Amino acid sequence: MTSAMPTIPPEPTPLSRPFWDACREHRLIMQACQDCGELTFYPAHMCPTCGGGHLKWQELSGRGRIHSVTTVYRPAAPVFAGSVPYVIALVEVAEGPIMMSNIVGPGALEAKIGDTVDVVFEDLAEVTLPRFKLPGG
Amino acid sequence: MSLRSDSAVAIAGVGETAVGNLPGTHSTELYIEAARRAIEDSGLAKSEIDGLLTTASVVDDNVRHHMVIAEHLGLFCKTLCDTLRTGGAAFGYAVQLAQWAVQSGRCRAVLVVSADNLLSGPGAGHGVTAYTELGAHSLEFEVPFGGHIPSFYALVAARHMHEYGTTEEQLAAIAVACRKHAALNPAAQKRTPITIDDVINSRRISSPLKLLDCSLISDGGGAVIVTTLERARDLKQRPIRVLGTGQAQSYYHMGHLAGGVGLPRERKGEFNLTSTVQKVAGRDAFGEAGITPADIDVAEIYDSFTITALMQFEDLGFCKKGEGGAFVEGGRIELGGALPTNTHGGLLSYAHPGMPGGIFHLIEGVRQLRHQCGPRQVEGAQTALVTAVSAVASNHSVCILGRD
Repeated sequence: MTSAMPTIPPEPTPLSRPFWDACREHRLIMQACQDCGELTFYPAHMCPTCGGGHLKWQELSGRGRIHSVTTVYRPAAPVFAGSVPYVIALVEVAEGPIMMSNIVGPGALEAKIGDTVDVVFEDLAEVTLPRFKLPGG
Repeated sequence: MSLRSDSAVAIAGVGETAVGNLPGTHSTELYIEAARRAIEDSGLAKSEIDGLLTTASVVDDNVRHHMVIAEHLGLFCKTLCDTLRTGGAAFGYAVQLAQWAVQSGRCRAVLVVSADNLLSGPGAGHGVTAYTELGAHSLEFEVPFGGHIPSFYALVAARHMHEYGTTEEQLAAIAVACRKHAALNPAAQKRTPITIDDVINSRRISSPLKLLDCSLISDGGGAVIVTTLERARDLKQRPIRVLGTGQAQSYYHMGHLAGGVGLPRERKGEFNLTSTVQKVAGRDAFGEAGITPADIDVAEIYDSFTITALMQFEDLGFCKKGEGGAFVEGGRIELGGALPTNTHGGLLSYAHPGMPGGIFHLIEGVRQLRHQCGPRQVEGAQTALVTAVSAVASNHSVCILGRD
């Protein structure tokens, strides 16, 4: 396995810390509204759908579908220069929210809208990033 | 006209610096030069200006940016003064605020000014990174995955192509039209004509966008003076009326934009990655102006990327959703076509210094209606549409101008 694409690491906040801590444990979690049932991502202080204030972390299936996808040739910053071309996608997780991530692994450069993907956790020194791979990738 | 003539508002003066690569210049210096030129163009006494709106700077920002610029200009007492931080759309919101301030009698004349040295300041190749580091995108949930503005607009373009069959050649037609117009504009940064093939074969940036689908990075600045139509009629230039304005803003994170997060369930799907709140800004601007897209003689459409412009033709009602690709083909948006667009060259070929980018669209709209554009003049133009978009298809503004 090749080494994971490096990153500009996120700086977790008290609100988002559970999400990043769960990634470190290779679990994908999001907040579920206890009032309307909608899931929310990124971490929020209230449910942006119904306004309810009772959000509870919930573990997800890790399955998703590509909502849109691009292959990046011009790196966003020097830290990404060694990784081009790399693939950025908006992934609609099975439970609803759409999150930005990377598609990695075999076939990533051919990933297309509508493809089913599965989360894969890539451990970097500073953070574990939730990325996605094609089935069998 | 829905506005009473005694509350009508006009643009009385415009001015800009040279654009392109201006090494050795400073953001504030460009701000002041643009402002001085607009004041001089209008013939207004500086002492009559009681409103100032700036749009900050990527290179040399200050939490009190508007105060710094006011001091340099010697504008002591203002009844409206602020720094707008809505990115490339900020000048559009500034014009609308100025319109309201003048209409309500709170200001006599408002100076809207925007400048930066985004090319020479950070150095070639670093402008996009500088913008990203400022928090132009989510530093926690987007930037770690290697995203930048071109890649985010690429996600929009890919989705539009998926949903509507839009082609790379159709996107390229917008870049070709802008360059064709820039070739007629001695002030433009890029003037060598290009073809569809040139765009398609240019360096890949983030699929499906190539280098020539992407706007320039530049130094430069521009300014406009907004006052009452009545006052403007006594000044040096033919007044250009502000017939209608509109603004609408959605979201920061691309996932929220795509998912319409927060919309009531019955309105889900009304807005998404390829259908933006520019629909609302356009509805309000056209409603206030009392005209329709068919009445527009010249369009200055914000073109940070080819896809940015393409979707606006749809969202503003020049064509149906999904038909933007066909709309821009066949020279329709070129001089001589039904809707000449970005007659100065746009962000794709004239200049894009970051925050100020679209102010050149507004200045061009004014000059087109003054009939001062020489070889790129749209003959007899009576109405112009000027738009701005920032924060990746999420912050929108529309301004409709009319010749007095």
